[in-house]
Amino acid sequence: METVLFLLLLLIWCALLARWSRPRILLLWGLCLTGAVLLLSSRLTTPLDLSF
Amino acid sequence: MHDMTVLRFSTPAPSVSRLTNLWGLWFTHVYVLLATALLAGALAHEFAAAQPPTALGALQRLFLALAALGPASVVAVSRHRPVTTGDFATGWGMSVLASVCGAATAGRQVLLHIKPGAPGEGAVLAGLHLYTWTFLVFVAATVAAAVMLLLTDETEPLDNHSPVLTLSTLGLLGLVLAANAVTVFALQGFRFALPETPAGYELLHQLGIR
Repeated sequence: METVLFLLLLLIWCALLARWSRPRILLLWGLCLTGAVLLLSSRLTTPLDLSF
Repeated sequence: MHDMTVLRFSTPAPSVSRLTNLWGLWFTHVYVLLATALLAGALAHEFAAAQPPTALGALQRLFLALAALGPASVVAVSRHRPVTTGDFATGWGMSVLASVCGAATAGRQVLLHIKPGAPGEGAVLAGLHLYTWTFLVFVAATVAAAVMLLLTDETEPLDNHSPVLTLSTLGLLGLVLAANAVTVFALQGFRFALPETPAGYELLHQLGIR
């Protein structure tokens, strides 16, 4: 999953150089951000030990 | 008879505004370059200390790269046409969103080791663990992006007279993104996702190299 997201980052970078339109770049970027947030939420399963 | 012609004075373009617009363009470059340097530093540390990033660490790199791509889009647009307010706001807005998510990720890692006496994990720099520094970096990045948005009129880059610097900035970012993609692929191998704390480069193991 992380590899796919990093490849998506590279694709966005290529899109910037290739002068893609703003909505298309924003769509790719939003897709990558959503993927990263979903991945983060799947990593929040370990309970925090806050018993001070 | 007095001439009744009304004299109209057009507002001259204030030089101070041009100066701050130029400053805005430079700051956008610096922001991208700093993020690139941090991503490169994380990679260098990974190899120098032979310490692969944790899953949360890899996510922080991802969010930092996403935060850099916003201003990078402003820089990229400035190569071939004047940047509009829409371009500027979109770029820095992207940066704010990604930085907030990055701060949440780093904050989560801080909270995992918040208990007094907990040793924490990974390297320590100037008394703070790297994930604590990352949290502070994301907070600073959010504040910087928000200030740029607040001062849009004064800081939006109108045009760009340094195409070499711009290409170098974008080139360096691309190089570091590619290096990160290769490293993460090597860590992850053909698994669905990274384990919480990767022991080594799984791809090499899967290919029978190590």
